Amino acid sequence: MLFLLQLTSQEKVEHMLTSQRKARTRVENAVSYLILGAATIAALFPLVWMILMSFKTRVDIFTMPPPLFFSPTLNNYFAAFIEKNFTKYLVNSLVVVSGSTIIAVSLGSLAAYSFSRFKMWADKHILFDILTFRMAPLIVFIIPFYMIWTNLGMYDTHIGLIIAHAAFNMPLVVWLMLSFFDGLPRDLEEAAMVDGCSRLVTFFRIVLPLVAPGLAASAVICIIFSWNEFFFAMVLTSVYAKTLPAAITGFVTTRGTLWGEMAAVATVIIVPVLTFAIIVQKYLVRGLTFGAIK
Amino acid sequence: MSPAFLYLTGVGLIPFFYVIALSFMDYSLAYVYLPRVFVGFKNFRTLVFDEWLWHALRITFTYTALAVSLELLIGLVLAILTTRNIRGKAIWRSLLLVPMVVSPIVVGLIWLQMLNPDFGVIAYFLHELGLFVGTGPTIEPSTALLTTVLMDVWHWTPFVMLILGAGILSLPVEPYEAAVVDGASSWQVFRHVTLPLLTPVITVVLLLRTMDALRIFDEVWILTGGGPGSVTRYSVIHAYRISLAQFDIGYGATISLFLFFITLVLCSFFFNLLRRRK
Repeated sequence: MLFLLQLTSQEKVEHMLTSQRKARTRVENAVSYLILGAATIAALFPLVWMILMSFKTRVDIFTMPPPLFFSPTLNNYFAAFIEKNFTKYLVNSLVVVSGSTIIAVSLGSLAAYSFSRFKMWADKHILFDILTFRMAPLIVFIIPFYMIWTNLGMYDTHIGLIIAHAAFNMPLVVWLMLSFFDGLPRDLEEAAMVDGCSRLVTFFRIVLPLVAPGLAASAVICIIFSWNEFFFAMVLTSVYAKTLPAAITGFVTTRGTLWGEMAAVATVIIVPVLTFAIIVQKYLVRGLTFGAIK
Repeated sequence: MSPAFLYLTGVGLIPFFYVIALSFMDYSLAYVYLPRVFVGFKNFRTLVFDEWLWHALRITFTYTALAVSLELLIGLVLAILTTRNIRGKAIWRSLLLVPMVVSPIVVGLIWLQMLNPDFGVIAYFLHELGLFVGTGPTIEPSTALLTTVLMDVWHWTPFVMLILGAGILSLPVEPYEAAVVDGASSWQVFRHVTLPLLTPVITVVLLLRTMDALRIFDEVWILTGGGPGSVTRYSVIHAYRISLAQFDIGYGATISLFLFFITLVLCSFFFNLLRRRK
């Protein structure tokens, strides 16, 4: 377990290391690379396998042992997105993601600003209550949503799913933006208001540009959650407003599963969000922990 | 605050009161022509004597305990390794975090394919090793729960690694310098410097992972559907089956309220833990 040590100040104390210690460091490094390599293979193999499968013919998919080399085909993509019209579900996904993200980020950041700047009745309680909302098992909201949405005629509409996703993401935005607003000095706003700006103008012209990274982080998390979300989408939609994660389960039928087309759609679901996540990595930590860890 | 407040009241609080109302009713979507009847605490009495529910809760807690502890252990090791002075730190971290952003439903489908006894790649290698011949890890009742745990570990260890890694990088340098000057061994530094300083971060990770594991649905739903038998019929799957597959909305609402109550208790426990630290 000795290699587990991490020394942030390693350079500074380099001269203190004896040659014996240097040798040990070399062994520790070798073991580190070994573990990291194994972990990376374990993490990536299932995804690479599925992406490869999306380019395989039916025959290649069912061949055992799996062939190492195969002639790639785009038939699965064609069958899923043109013949089975998954393009429609892709558009639905995009509509729901953008709608719910805009609502959650705009309302959530306004709320976070007032939580940060004004003293309100029971504000601490409300903050923790909305966090519980985010941690609760979704089923407790899915049952009433299903009932209310069917009664209001909002079942299987984009707006119905957008409202649900936005509600689900808003607590996270509030907490995350709160951590950004709290880190902002009040002097700036006070100076702006002394110069004659109203509270709202100050918010939009002075405060908001300064917390742009926070807005970006919130949007990133909202987009990823909404794009991947399955439970609400499955229960609240059926034909018109179905999103990709809800539609993909349609390939699993009682008469067998259309693996190739499933893999093609799955690739379309994961590749954009994956690329996106690696680019915006630095926002992920703060976003995923509700701003608790910077 | 008021737009968000109104929104969350409308979309959060009203449905919540609606669920409470439903839990006192005998109401089935399979018999919509029958009126909803107020039945008092009948559903709650059913809940107390619902053996399936207690079974579901037992396996859900087993699942959560196994998955979260494995994730913390592996995640901590990977977090330490990716923050050491090694080459290509950023690349390792980017590659390792990948499973975390994959949609849960896709995770379930990938594992469903790889574990398929006839043409799944993992099943193939297991067969070559003489394991699960003619069957599969999700078909055998003795290994189904463990398989879903491993799927969760694959999916969420990157999350633990990412957060703990960020936590380690934000630790102050001085205690480490002091420890090295005092001649502490690697293990001693880890045990007496890193671990205590990291405790708040570990608590946050523990909270988030526990809450997510307790409400597991998507991946397991597609991989095993709660089976074989009821070996992986976790609490949310149970609630879903009762309410939206058997359409017993009244009793389903009662179960989901009960699950919500468990979340509430656990949440307040964790919040208190975190607040005391601050």
